[in-house]
Amino acid sequence: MSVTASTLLDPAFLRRLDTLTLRSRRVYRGMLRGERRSRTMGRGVEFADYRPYQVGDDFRYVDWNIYSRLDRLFIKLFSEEEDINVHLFVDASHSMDWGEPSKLAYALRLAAAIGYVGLHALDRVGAVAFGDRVRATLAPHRGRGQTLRLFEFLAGIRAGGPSDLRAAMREYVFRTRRRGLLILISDLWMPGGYEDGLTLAQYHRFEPFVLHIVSEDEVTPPLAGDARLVDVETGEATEMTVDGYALEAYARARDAYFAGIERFCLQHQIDYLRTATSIPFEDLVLRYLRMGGLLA
Amino acid sequence: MSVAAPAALWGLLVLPVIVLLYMLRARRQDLPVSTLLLWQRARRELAAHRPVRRFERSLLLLLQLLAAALLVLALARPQIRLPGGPEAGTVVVVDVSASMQATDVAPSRFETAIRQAHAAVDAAPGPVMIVAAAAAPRVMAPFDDAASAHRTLDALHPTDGPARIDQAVTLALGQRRPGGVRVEVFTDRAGASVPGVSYHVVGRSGANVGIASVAVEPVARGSLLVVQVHNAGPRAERIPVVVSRNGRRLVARTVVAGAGAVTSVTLPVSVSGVVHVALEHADMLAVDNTAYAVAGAQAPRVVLAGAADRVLAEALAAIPVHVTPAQRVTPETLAAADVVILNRTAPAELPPGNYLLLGTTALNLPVQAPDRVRGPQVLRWAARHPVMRYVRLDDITIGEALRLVLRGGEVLVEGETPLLWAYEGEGVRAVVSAFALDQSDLALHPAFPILLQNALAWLAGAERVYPAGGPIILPAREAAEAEVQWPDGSLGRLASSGGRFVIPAADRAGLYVLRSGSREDVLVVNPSAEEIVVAPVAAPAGAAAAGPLTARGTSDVWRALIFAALAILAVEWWLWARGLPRKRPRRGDAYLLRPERPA
Repeated sequence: MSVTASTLLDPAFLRRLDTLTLRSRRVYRGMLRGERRSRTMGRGVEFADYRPYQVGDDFRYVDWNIYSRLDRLFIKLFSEEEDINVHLFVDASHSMDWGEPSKLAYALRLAAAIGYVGLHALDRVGAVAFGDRVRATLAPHRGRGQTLRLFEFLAGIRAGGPSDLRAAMREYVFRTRRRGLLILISDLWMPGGYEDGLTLAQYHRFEPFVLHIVSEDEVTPPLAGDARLVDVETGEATEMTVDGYALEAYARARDAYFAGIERFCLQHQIDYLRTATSIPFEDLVLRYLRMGGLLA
Repeated sequence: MSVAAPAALWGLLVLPVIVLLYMLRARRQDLPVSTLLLWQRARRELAAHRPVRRFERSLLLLLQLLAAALLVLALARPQIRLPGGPEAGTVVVVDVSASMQATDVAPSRFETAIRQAHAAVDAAPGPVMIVAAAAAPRVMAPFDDAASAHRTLDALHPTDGPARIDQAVTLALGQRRPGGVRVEVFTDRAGASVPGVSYHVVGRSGANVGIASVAVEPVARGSLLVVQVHNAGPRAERIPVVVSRNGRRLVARTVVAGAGAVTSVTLPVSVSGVVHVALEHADMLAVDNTAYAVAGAQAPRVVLAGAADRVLAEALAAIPVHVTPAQRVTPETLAAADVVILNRTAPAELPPGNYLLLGTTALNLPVQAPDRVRGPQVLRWAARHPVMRYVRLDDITIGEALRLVLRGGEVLVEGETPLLWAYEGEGVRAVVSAFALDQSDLALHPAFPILLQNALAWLAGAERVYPAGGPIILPAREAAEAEVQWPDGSLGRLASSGGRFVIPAADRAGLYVLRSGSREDVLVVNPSAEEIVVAPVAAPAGAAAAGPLTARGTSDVWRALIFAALAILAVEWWLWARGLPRKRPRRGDAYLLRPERPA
C-alpha cells in the first residue's frame, strides 16, 4: 500500500498527539523561544537560581528583597523556554521494504507522528531519508504550519538500495549545523554495522534515539526446507537447509544481534527501543514511546 | 528361505527412485529474505555441527531405503523353512493336448516338455505328483519318489484333444503336502499367473493349417461335405482337400486359406458311410490335417405311440426319420425302433431304450409329476446341450404342464418348474417334456422342428461324430458287454455301466467301432479344432513363481517384515520430526524492548 501525506496519520490520531511533547536528555540552545525549558537562564518566567550581580546585569532582575536583608545584590536567574532541533533519520534501504505492513510504511508513520509532536511543540523538525548515503533531506523547520510539508516529504520516500549508516551520517553531520535530537528509525540490518554511525552522531553532539523496527517474519522466519536464501538488498545468496536446527541457530543469532544493539546503546547512553511491525502503531506511539522517554 | 511371489522383487527398483527423489529434493529454490545477516551467523554456527547433521540426513535416507526394501520383500512373501520341516511337494503338470505334437521344436513339443519335466523331477526337493493336462485334468501318479515320477512321465502320450491348463493348475494347487506345494507346468500355452506356479513354455511357431470341422448335409444324390479349413499361420496357403473312402479317392478341391482365416469348402459325395477328409499339406502338426465324417447315415427309426397328434405327425414327416405309428409299446416294436415317442400316455415302466415323452412320465425314471401347473413361463434354457442347439424359446406360451419333481438328469428348459428334462441311466435315454404339443403354441414357432430333430438325433445317437478328448456314451440297451475297436486297430472289451457304454476320454482321433451282438456302431472322433492354433502363449509377467505355497513346516515372514518396516518408518519419522521447527513464539510484544531510560 503506498503512503501519501493524507494517509500517513488520521486526524483523530493527530488530535491525540496534540497533548504530547518531545523529551530531550540534553538542553540545546534554540534560535527562538519555544515551549521547552532551556538551561539557558534568561527571560523566562520560571525561577531557576541566584547569582551575584555583575556589572552590566539588567537591574530588572535584581532581587531587592535579598538586598534589603543581606545588603548585597543578587540577580534572579530564570529558565528560558527554547525550541530544539529534531532530526528524523529514516532508513530507506531496500530491506525496509519488507513485511506486512512494510517496515518502511511503519517507519514513515512513526516519523510523521514524532514530527507532528515536535512541530506542535514549536520544535524545529527536519527529516532525512538515507540508504548508503543521504538520499533526501528536509531542513528543520519550526511551526505547526510545516506539518503538511513534513508529511509530504515523508510520503515521498521510497525504499531501495543498500544501507550504510556511517556514510550517511558522515554526510549529514557535515551538512547541517543544527544539533539536536536525532531519531534513527531503521531495521539496523546493516552489513557495515550501525555502531560507527551512531558514534559519529554522538561525537557531533547529536542525541541519537534509536527506533529499531523489525517485521514478524524476521523474528521468526516462516521458512522450511532446502532453499537458496537471497538477500533482497544486496542480492547475495546463501544455501540453507531450513529445519529445526537452522531455525534455532537463527533464533540464537537474532537474540545475540539484538543483545549487541542493546549493549551498545546502553554503553553509549543512547536511547533504544525495538518494535515489531505487528505492534499496533497507536500502542507504540501513545504507550511505548512515552514509556521509552521519547514523548512526554 | 524362498519367496512365493518373486515378481514382487521388481519393486526393489523403487530404491533408486527414492535416491533420485532425495537428490532432486536437494535442488534448492530461491527464497528472498530481507537480510542474510542473521542467516549467515546461523550458518556459521550450524557448520560446527555439520558432520552430525549430514549423518542424520543420510540416516533418514538410509532408513527410508531400508523400510522400502523390507516392504518390497514382504510383498514377495518370503518363507523360511523351519528346522526339521517336511519337504515341499512338487506337482508336475504336462500338457498332453494335440498342439504338443507340433514339431517346431525337435523332436516335438511334447518330447521337449517331457525332457524338461524329467529335469524338474530331478530337481524337486520332495515327492512328485504327475498331472496330465488334457480335456479333463488327470492325476497320472500321486505324490511319490522321483523314480516313480520318471516312469509316469515316460508313459505319457499326447492326445488329439484340447488341454485345460487352468483346470489342471487348480487341481495341482488343491493338493496338500506338509511342506507346501510347488507347481511346475510344461505346456505351449501358459495359463494365468498364480503364486507358486511356474510355467515352462515350449514351442516357437504358430504356422499351422488344420480342419476345423466337417459337416454333412444330405442332398438329392448323396451328401454334401462342408469342410472348414483354418489357417492359423501368418501367410495365405493353397490347400488341397481330398475326400476318400476306404483308400479310394472320391473328390478333391483346393482351397485358398487366408492368414488367420477359416475357409469353407463343399465337396459332394455320393457314397454312404464313413469318409476320410485330408489336407494334402505338410506342416508342423499333422494330426489336424485329417478328419472323418459319416455320409448318408441311415435315418433313425421312430415309433410314435400314445395320443394322436396331427402336428407332431406332420413335423416328423418333415425330418429325415422313419416313423412307425403304434397303438401300444411291445418288446418287438422297441427292438425295431431307435427312438420311441410317447405322447400323453399313462406312466408305465420303460424297458431300456430311447424315449421322447410328451406330457407324460415313466415309472422307472427319477421324476415324478404330482400335479399340474397352469401357465408356466419359460425363464431359461440350457443352450449348450445338444438337444437345445439353435433353439430359442422366447415368447412360448404354455397353457398347462406337469409339475415335474426331479432327482437327477439335466433340466433343459426351466420355468417355475422344469419344463424339459433329459436323462440317461439304467439303459434308458429320455427326453421328457412337461407339456404336450396341444398344451402350448410351441408347434407354431420355428424352434419346434429344430428341437424335435435335435432331440431325436440325441436320443438315437445319430451324433456319431465326437471331438477328441471328450467322453463317448452310448446306450447299451440289453447288452452287458461290447467289443471296441480303437483307432489304431487294437481290440478291447467294454462293459456296460448303468445301461450305457462309456469311453471316458476318446483321446485319439479316428474311428471307434463298438460291436455288441449283431449291432455295430461306428463312431468318428475328430481332432479338437481349438488345437489348430498352435502359437505358443508365453507365461504372463510375474508368473515365474518358484516357491511353494504356504504350508506347515514353513513360516511366513512377511508380517514380521511389515512390522519391521513400520518400526523403521516410525524411527525415521521421529528423527525427521526432531528436525522440524519448534513451536513459534507468540507474536509481537515478546520482541518489543522497553528499556529503562538511562538517568
